[in-house]
Amino acid sequence: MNRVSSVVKMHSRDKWSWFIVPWLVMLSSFVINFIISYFVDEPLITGGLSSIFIYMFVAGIITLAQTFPFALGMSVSRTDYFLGTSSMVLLTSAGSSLLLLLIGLTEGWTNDWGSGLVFFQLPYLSEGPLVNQFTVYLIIFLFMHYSGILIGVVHKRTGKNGMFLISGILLAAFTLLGFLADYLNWYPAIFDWIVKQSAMDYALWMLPFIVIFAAASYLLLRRATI
Amino acid sequence: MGKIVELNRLTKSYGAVKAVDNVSFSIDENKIYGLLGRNGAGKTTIMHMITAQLFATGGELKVFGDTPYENNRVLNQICFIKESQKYPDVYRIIDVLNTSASFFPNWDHEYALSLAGDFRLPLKRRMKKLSRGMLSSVGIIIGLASRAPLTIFDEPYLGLDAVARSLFYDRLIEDYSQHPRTVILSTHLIDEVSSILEHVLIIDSGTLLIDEEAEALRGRAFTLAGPKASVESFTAGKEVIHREPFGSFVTATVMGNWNAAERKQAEALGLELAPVSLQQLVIYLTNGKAQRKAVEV
Repeated sequence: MNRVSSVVKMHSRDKWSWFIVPWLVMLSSFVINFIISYFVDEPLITGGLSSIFIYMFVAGIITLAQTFPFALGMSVSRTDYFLGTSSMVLLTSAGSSLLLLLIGLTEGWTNDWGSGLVFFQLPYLSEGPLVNQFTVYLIIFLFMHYSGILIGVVHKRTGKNGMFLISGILLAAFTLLGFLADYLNWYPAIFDWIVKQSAMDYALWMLPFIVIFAAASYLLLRRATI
Repeated sequence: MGKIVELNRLTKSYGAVKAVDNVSFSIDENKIYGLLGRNGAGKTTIMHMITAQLFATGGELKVFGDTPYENNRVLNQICFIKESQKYPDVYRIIDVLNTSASFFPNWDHEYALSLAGDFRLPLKRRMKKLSRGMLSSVGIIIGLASRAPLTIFDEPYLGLDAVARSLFYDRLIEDYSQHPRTVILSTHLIDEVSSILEHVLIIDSGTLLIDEEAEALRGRAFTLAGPKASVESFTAGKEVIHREPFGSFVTATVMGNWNAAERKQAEALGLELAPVSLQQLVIYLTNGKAQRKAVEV
């Protein structure tokens, strides 16, 4: 039997973590906002949609700790584990993106749920053709997921102390970079660039990071032990 | 018979500490091995290396003729059940069994379910909520039902009661005779498994002490029982590893491969001869110096 698909099957047995919880979290935010929107006269634009993306980041961190030692114990190779997990991430991300798109369209058809609640079709984020919207969702999902997975793998390899050390180094590096940008007067140019980008542009910028994070996760996982 | 596992001067060191030091042995097809030794002797480390869950720092390791690392052909044929095996928190027992079914090519699901019944496991209960003994039972079921050509049990029955343990031994022997495979059993309960083991490997402080057929090993020592004077005259000049007085009688365990004449002599002196227990032998061999001194004084 193909072991990669076995890993996908293993993940899919945990329907709560992969499907139910993220949607439950976001939909509960939606319901609350929906109720509020009835009491507010102006249209209500919320950021509740972000909860599902943040959840995917957390799920990425948790997945590895939960299933990697189990899978390795069941004689699964590290490569198969990574490929299987990646397939699962891709499948759920694509599925969730499609659902978000459909619900977003429903939001349009129902005239913002009849109560003036803008939850799924956010200005700026949901602009452009449908393919673009779908791609933006998908890329953000993947980016969040692989960021989480990378953190999970780094923790697996280096433990608590390694995490402290790496976070410290990153914090110091970004602080230095911030000062440097101020000192060299880069900020005007940076802000200029930032405002010009569309959501799709940002999504495309995430792509190389997804590739780097995934490759780094894989290489670190290759030498991970129980 | 084919060699399934071959270790050649395998070493695993953590800094200056050598957890496994130059260990070489090989494991034949379709036999039951006992990997014995004290806590921290390096047994689990060796098993982790055989299953590619840890990396050796030196030496050579071949499993089914190849390196096991990231090798599906090899890993496919291995099932390693360890006491410290982690399971995803949200899985129920049935989820673990279903997942195992897709990971092990020889998995017999009906057999797994019938074993779950034997061990009285609640299939719908979450792994997180299981007692230590139940967790061990789940591991044992995976180990047996996977029918992997190389099945390794590392301390498989932590927290299991005597009934469940004997159930494990019975099922293991039963299934082993119907579906022969190589089994490596690592345990502290040596007396309980000694009748099952065909070959014994004893590890101490990371080195291999004994690599011998269980029968031959048992023949390396005998227990004598009889009146104190007779026992003492007979054991004079011999290596006594254990002595237990009982009124005017003494029971002594003596090392050595005895010939027929010696046996006759012992019987003539009215001494009772009995084979030594494997456990006593292991205790002596892995703690030998201290014990020997005590006896010599």
